[in-house]
Amino acid sequence: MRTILLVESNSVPGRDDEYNDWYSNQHLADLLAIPGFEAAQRFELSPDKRFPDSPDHPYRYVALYEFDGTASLLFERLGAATSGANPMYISPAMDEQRSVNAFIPITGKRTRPQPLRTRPMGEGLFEDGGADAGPPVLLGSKCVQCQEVIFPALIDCPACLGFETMTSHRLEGRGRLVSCVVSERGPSGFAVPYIQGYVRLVDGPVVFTTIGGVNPSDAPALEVGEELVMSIEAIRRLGDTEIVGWKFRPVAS
Amino acid sequence: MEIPSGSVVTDVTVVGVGMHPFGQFHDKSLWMLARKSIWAAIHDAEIDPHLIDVAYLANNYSGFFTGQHDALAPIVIGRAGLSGFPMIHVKGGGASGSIAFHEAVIAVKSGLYRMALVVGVEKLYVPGDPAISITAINSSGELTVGTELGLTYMADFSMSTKRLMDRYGWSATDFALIVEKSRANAMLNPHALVHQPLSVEEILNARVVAFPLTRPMCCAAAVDGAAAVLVCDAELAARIGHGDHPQVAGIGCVSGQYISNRVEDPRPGMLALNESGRAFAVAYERAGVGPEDVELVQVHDSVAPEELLSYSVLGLCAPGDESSFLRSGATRIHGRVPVNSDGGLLGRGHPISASGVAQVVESVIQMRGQAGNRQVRAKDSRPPRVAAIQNAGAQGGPSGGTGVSAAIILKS
Repeated sequence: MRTILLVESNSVPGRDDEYNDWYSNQHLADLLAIPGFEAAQRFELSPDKRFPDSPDHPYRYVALYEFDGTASLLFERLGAATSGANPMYISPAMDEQRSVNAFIPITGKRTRPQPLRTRPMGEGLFEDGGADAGPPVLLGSKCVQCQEVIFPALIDCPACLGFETMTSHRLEGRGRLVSCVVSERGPSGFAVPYIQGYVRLVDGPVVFTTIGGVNPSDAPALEVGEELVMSIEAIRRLGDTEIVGWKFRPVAS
Repeated sequence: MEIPSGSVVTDVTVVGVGMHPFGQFHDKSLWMLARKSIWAAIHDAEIDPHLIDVAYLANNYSGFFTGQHDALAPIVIGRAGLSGFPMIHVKGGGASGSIAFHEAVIAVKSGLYRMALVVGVEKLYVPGDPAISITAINSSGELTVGTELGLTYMADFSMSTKRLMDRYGWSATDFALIVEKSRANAMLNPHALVHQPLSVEEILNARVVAFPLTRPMCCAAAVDGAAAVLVCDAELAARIGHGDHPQVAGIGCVSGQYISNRVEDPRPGMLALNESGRAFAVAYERAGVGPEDVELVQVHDSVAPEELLSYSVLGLCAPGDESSFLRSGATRIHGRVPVNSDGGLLGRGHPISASGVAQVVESVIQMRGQAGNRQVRAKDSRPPRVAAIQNAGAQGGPSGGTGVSAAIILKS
């Protein structure tokens, strides 16, 4: 249970510096020393007004406190702190006219929804076709010496050990299912359950992918050899970042 | 003890072995686990620790958990009281312990070093947070086209397993039989994690991790443990000698093809074990033995089907006969070729860098006849004289092959 204490006050005319110095440098700390007081902050009324003709607000200064407990407990503790043998010091530079009220939150703190950032998985692994540029492709490489095609791309050929014999090679986002399995657990950011699988691209390489367009409970119906097509989409969510990568789905889905 | 210079190194022997039990030791730090195994090996060898002149420490994930990424070898071994000699930190997924052993063998075989210490130690257990251990272990696989795309080891194993089941006619019952065997062996091993047997029924009906693998068919990796061995040249071993020291007759260490469409048996997923086949071809040749001579086997069974596949990959049976070989009882503790006599990864637990060294420890104990009520008896009721060890680790690349596979043949 969190209670907000709002104290609005003014300085005694001519003693503004003294009042502010006491309030900021001593009084807030005194309040925070009372069990339950978790946070404190001071504000000064801005000269800007929403409605220029409206009457001036009677208080120039606001102190806002967060208290862990009920309002009645708050005032009980505040009362105890300001009375008895060693009461909390209240500066005479503070005008006696004050507004002291406790407020109970009725909503949580809401903030403007942040747009999700996106970033591609890895670097230079795929190209998202987009409307004009055609279907998405994976960016692999092909050896000019031995014709080996691989994904992801390398510079030197792993098949014939050719030095810098690989050139970039676009791989069609089409292939056939090699194997798949439904996972109830995954690395952080993957919504479970999901389907993991391997696809053999029409261009040759076998690529790991998650499989979309299929309800995980229908996954057993996927056949080895089933035709799959690639799309580029969000595959993972880490904090406020969506990670975009490839997914394959049955052509028929 | 005087050590004459210029001796020719002809054979490399294992003269000391030691373990810290595998389990959950939240209160014990990495170096506490390690020192127990190190001193157990030193006492087992009955040597003056001053003889140690090189050390290899296998550990993968300490940096992930503690921030201590580097300087691990001198720190961990130094805290056991030992220092002054070269110390090398080794990583390589599940194979790191075997790689460390491989390096020690090379060091001694070169003649430049006489007594090598090998320690494999890992802490992966975090109470209340099993997911973090998986995150740590994921760093042993290629992240960019693996984990970051949603790949998990268990799913990878599952996919490989299904293809092998189709190809060779395996069933989930075969896997359950292996688990039952491993757990029964582990019950006889005081250093193992598993202390409860499970029936085939219970194993088949347990929670599915990734079809068709149920929880008991997958090793427990969020486990702590350490194992250590001492390796030295035969001449020095004879002078320490208080018994037969098995020799490292053959060793083969290979890595998987990083990426290729021409991998001979393109079987995506980590169960390919192509690399183990190649490693064993090298080890058998160097040792001058064939699979028919092998009397004891330790394999890297991170999931039960991996052990089943190893039967044909190691040449113990023909490809496709793995299931009938298993069901013949040949690989049980009192069978013709016992596999994973101490429970293997499934029964012992898999504190990743420690496993490869623990495989050597078990092999040596068995060959000395010191294995108590899990003692393997070969022909004429004698302890085994030819032991094979298979280990594999880390994902080698987008083609899914293993990063490193090691094959070791010990002879006595």
